[in-house]
Amino acid sequence: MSTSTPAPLPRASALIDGAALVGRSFRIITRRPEAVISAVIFPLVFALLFLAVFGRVMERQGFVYEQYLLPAIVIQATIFGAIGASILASEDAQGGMCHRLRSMPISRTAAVVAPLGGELIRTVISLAVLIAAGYAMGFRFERGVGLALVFVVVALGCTVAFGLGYLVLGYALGKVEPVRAIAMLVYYPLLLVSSLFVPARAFPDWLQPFVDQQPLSRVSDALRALSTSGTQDVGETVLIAVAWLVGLTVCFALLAPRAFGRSR
Amino acid sequence: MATPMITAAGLQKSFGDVHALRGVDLEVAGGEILGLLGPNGAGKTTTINVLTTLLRPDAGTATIDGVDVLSDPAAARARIGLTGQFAAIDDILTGRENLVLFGRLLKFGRAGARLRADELLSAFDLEDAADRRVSTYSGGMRRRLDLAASMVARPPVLFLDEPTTGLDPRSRRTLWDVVRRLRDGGTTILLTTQYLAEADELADRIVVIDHGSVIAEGTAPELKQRVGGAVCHLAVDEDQVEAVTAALAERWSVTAADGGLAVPAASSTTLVEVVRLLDERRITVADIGLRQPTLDDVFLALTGTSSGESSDPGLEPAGTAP
Repeated sequence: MSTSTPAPLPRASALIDGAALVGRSFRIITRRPEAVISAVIFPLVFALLFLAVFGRVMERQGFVYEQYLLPAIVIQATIFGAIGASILASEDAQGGMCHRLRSMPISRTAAVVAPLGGELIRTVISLAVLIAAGYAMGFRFERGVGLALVFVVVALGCTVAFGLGYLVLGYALGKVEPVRAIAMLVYYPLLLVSSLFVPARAFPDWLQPFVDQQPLSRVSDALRALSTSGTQDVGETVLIAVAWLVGLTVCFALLAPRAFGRSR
Repeated sequence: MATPMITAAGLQKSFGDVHALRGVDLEVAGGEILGLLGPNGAGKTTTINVLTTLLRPDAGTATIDGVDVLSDPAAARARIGLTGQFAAIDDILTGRENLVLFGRLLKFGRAGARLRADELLSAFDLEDAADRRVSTYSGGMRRRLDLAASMVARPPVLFLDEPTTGLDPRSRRTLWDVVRRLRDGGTTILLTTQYLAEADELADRIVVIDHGSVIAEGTAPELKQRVGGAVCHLAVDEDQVEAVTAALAERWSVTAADGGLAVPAASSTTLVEVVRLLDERRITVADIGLRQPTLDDVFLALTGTSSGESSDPGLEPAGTAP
């Protein structure tokens, strides 16, 4: 059957394979209503809730809360993207797609990171919507277009760094439900015990070192420095955040292919 | 055998204390269907995982079309198709989208991938469902699409891991036809199965594997011969066993079989003769009939344990167990 014309042996290409597989991931995402909801509507609802709950208290403390909050909401969206990658990865492992891809003559790197590629596209769209909504509520990039672009790059870097970590989780566990559970278990403490929604001094003394140092706080400090005038030491703050993100990226980039190579 | 398309020699693989493979040797000739038969945990899937570059063995060698699987996995991957136990296709995409994706990954180009998808959809009888999401497919259709996805690059070697598990009898027949057509088109196929009937139906040659070792090899008739061929099976009440055994033992060698007695049946006339003999002696039995050998019988004959006992569902290693 159809074997009359022997095809030339196929060869791996990171570019073609990457494009095809990222396209696949993104197409899968777009066909899931919950993916759209969690990318756009969820962060928006969170933003409104936090504004309602903390807005007045924070104003009294001297914060313009719209300005303070937007980086937090952006980070939330980038981590949603990262978690999405772990779900896609675990589905591939669970459904046998990892085995199929691993047995095909295609770029291993492309196959490993494709779920993250799809989630990055979603995150870009989600950032656009959130920043537009932020502008409607009063947020402004007070430091100009250049640093606004750096803001977006750092935010996407956050998706990449955490997304690679979540890919390791997804490939290694290979089952959707536990992956979802552990993803949240990592995410919520990092999200809430941080300077994302309230400044570090709002936490008890013994927690403050963690709140100050943990990567999501560092990234939110950087995003605030990049968007809000009057913040001190912009360069240093951004460098610390970038160092965190690069470090995590390198770490997880080394682990992800191994996890993929052992996936079910 | 001419130049074999698939070879495995001395494959060993352990997962902790579990010896999944204890030195498996295989050869599959070009254009042949080899059935790898064994219970759960026998090492079938582990063997396939090694041959398809998914798993490195602890010892041994393997080649595909002359290419060393261990030293040149990329070249081996260019020569194989794999259909695993679980349909590795995207439910949320249409059948056509699935095939176009694999066409692109296999460097058919955008237009080429569309053409190839059309060819495969028609060859695997999926044209009508081409633009429906796979989530709406029946089990048989999913399997066919999965198989089509493995055949996109027309690989000379195809691996099928329990291709009909969970299918209804009609879908199973359809899939068997598809597999035979692939073989007739020149594809070399290694398939694993738990069912002797399936190996019987499809395989040119059968390798029986248990506890990670090859325990028998041959054509389906040869294997059945080793089991002793068909038997005449009698369901007998407890208090009748002695009388029936005495009567039958005059002409046949009687063995105890599950829930009754069995005598070898060289042909269907054996059944008639048994019935006549019992009738003459005015002995009635609960049930009587001819029974073809099953995988269980093959295992009983080959290992002294039934396949149910020799299998350990926990043994099929990481690779694929559900």
